[in-house]
This record gives sequence, C-alpha cells and structure tokens, in this order.
Amino acid sequence: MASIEFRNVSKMFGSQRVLAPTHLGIPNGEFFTVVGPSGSGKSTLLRLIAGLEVPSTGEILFDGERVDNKPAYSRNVGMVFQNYAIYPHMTISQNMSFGLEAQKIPKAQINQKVKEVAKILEIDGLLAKRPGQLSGGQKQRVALGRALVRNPRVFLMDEPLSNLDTQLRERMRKEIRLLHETFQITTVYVTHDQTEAMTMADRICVVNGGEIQQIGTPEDIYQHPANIFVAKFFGSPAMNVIAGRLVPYKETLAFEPEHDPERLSPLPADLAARGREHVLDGPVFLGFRPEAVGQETSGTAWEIPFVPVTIESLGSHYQIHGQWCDQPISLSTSIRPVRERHKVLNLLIPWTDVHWFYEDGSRINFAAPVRVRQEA
Amino acid sequence: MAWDALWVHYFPQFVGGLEVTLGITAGAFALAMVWGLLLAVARLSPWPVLRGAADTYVTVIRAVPVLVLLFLIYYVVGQVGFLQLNGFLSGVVTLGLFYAAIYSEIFRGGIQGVERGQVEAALALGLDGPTRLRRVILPQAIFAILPPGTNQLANLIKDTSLVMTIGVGDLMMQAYKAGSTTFEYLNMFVFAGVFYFALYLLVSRGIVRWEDRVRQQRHG
Repeated sequence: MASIEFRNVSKMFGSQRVLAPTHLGIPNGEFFTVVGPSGSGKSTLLRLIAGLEVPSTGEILFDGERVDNKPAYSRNVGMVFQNYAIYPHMTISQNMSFGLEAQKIPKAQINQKVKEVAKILEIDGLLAKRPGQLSGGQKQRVALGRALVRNPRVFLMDEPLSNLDTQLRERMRKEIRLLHETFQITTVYVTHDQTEAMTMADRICVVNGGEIQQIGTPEDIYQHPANIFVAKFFGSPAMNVIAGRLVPYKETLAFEPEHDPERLSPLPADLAARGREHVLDGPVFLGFRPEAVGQETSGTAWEIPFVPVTIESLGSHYQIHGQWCDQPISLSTSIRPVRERHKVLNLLIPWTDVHWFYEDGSRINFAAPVRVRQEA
Repeated sequence: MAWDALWVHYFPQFVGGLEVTLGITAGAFALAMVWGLLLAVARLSPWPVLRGAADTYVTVIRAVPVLVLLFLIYYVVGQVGFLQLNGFLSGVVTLGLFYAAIYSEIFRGGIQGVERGQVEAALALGLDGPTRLRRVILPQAIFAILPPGTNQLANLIKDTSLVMTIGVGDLMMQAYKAGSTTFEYLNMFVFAGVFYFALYLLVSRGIVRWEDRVRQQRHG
C-alpha cells in the first residue's frame, strides 16, 4: 500500500495538452475516484500512475519515493481495464497466477494465494475454465483477482464496470467497495458515471479539459460545487443554472435574470450584504438543484414562474421538465403536480439552497474573503 | 520404360531428393522464423536507428529475386575464406534470409493486431519485454500469423527447387537427372510435382489441424 503524490505533473501529446500541471495527494488506503466526461484527461491521469504514459513535466511519488522514472512493470501496481484484458490463451487460474510467476514466487505459494483470492471473489469454481466460457461479471472478477493476488501497492481501475448491465453494475459497485475495505489498498478508480463516483469514493476528483476542477468528499462535491461544470456534472437532472446580474433594488439588492429582466427577485438582507461585498453589482449565475423546489421554506424563498412541459414518472418520484420564459428548468419531486401542463406554476426555492457563481463560472463562497476583481 | 517401372526404379532417388528438400525447408524455415521475429521486433522498436536498419533490410531483400540472392551467397559470400558455404547451406541461408523479410511483415502484423490493453495489462502485471512477447503477445498473435505464414511456408517449399541451379541434389535435381537419363522429362517432372503436392498437403493440413486443436483448447 502506498500514498500517491503528483508534483506539477502534466502530459502533452505533441502540441496537445492532455493534462495541465497538476498537484495531487492521495493518502494511503484511500478510495479515490477520478470522474469526468470523455476526453477530460482522467484516463491519462490513471495511466501516468501506472507508468503506461510518461509525464511531460513533474514527478510522481509513491510513499515519497519517485516512480515516474521507473518502468510500469517495476511499480507494483494492480490494474483493472475497461475490457478486462484477460488472456484468452490461459485458464482462469493461469491468468491469476501469471503476475506472481513473473516475480519468481514458489509454485505452492502462488496456488495458495490464487485460491484465497478466488474464494473471496467467489470464482474458485472457475479456475480451470477459459475466459471464453465466462460471463461479463465473471471476467470482471477474474480481472480484479489477477490484480489483487500480487498485493499491489496501488490498485488502479479504468472504468471497470462500464461493460456490465445495470443490475450487475450495482452489485459489483458494492463488491469493489467491500474488497477495498478488506484489503485497504490505495485505489484510484476512473469513471464517467457520477453515481459510481458518489457511491464508492472516499474522495472524488472532478476533471475536465485536462484540469482538476475540484477534489472533495461526495457530500462536498454535491453541496459545495467549485464551479458550474461540477455543479451540473453531478445530479440528475442537472442543476438549473440561471444567468443574470445583481442590481440595486430599494434598500437592498435584487437578482435580475438575463432571460426575464422585468422579473426582479429581491435578496434577503444578509444575503444582499454578502452579495454586495463579493459581486459588486456584477453578472452572476444562480443555480438550484431540481429537488430544492417545493420544500418547506423556513426563511425567505426565491419565487419563479414555471410552465411544465413534460412529466416523467420514475416510480418513487417525478421529473418535471419545463420552462421559465425560454429558460429550460427541471424539477424532481415526490408529489405529482396536480395542475394541468402548460399552466404557470409558482416555484419557491429557499435562498439557502441557491448556489452562487461568478461570471467565469467559479463558485462564490460567501464565507471566504472577498475575491479581488481584476479590471479589464 | 513403362510408367510404373519408371516409378519403382527412380523412387529411391526421389526420396533422397525429398530428404534434401525437407532439410533445406526445415533449416530455412527455422532461420526465417527466428530472424523474422527479431526483425519484426526491431521494426516495432522505439529506437529509430534499429527501426530504420530493419526496414532497409526488409525493403532490399524483398526487392532482390531469390535466385540472384542465392547466386550472391553461393558464389560470392560462400567463397569467402572462413565461411566456405556448400550448396546445401547456401540454400538454407538464402531462403532463410529471404523469407525472414517476409515473415517479419507477417509477425509485425500479428503483433500489432494484439489488443493494446492486453500488452498494457502485462506491463501492469510486472512483465518485462521478452516475457510479454513470449507469454502474452505471440500466443495471441498466432492466429493472425498462421494463415499467411502457412502460405509462405508453401512458397518456401516450392522455392527450395531453386537450389538445383547450384548443384544441390534436391527433389527437383533428382527429377532433372532422371529426365536427362531416360528422356522422360514430362513423367519425371510430374513425379516431382506429386511429391511437392503431397508435401504441401501434409504441411498445410497439419498446421490447420494444430490450429483447430489450439482454438478448441483455448475456447473450451
């Protein structure tokens, strides 16, 4: 087991920057999930740890020891690939023992270790079979087993569940998490699936365009997104984000939506004071989660008009997609709307559930010191 | 002389010629496989000098007719003091070097056809280059290599007939000798053709059966 550290690590493919200079620390034994859309650089980050790519700049350290100058085969990492990469010309037993044979470990010891891990993964009955005879879920377990038998310092997984059906994926999520609790190996898990990231991770690293957007616990990421990208990436339906500006209004400030400038929403006094400090009457984005609507509001609320267009029943709750003028809005509620579609509803969003973002998309943190605004 | 009498009379000579043909085939094939694999690995190497040298070798060798190469090796290289290659060895070396260039292309295609993830998995499992090649890449590349490889082996068997031009007593030479003794050239070359055909059939069927067995083993 090892801690992982990135010191100013970047990766270029020719003139194309795939990973911006990155500083990153993953403590020993953590389940660290890297999430982002396709082409965001998340797999590159994983491959750099594995040694399958060489960094263009910077250093990678395991337990404080540099490994970026070592070849992949001497780093002692266990890796599970999206397509499993099990060897078709070997039995399951041979597949699992293969890495240990390369380490010149005695045969008896290898067999013992393979049987132990196979038992934990419930594939001990498959050891004599060939990969061609296995289902997707079984192949996945073999791939996990092959990586685990080596007692790797670091466990790397590259979208390992993306080829499985929904039910199996849910089951494997729990099993991988259990495996982590059993073996306590530092794990870096790459996925594009926000549900996987939220349910499995100790901490999540959100990547986009080769840059780390935010690192935090699943709760942090969901409740305090660092920017609009993170805010919209997590949650289904995505967070509703409204562009507008803060304008003086009577004794306070009001939010003036870009798409409906006539409709001013006055801010409560405490929020207006902080808003004035941070935004200085400038453009802002306000975001609210679909589930924030219609809850009991102990304080004041932001009131917006909403025209439902489609109502989707998901059994336990409803997703309602509609509009405020031309602005699409999505809601998630357990109460079926009784009103007819295309009739205007008045939505109440508690101001405490509203997320604030600067013009550049970064979060306005009202508790933090005021950000110095640069003159153009 | 009647057809069957000819057959009986010259059969031992043809068998002797067949042994020489088989010897040259086996030697040249072994050399072509080993040298061809090394060339393929060199051509996939990250080092430009090695890659360039291997590419040049393959291009030059494939551009020169086998017969020209055979004469060069037998009459020029083979007569250099310390080498002194006889006709048999000249045939083995010539065909080995020529077919190595062809097999290097086949190997390269097979190696490149192995899924990248398989190679990366081997890297992550702690395997060095030679072990990766031997235990992971080649066993999977084999099915891509076998069909064109078998075709080229058939060509190699046929090309052994060129060694008669430097006086080696192979199958073709025996047919030619028997023909010039009896003036039954047609019959003798038909005999030789039958031997070549039987040899090709044995080799190709053998490889196909072996391939089927391996496939069954692997896929249950």
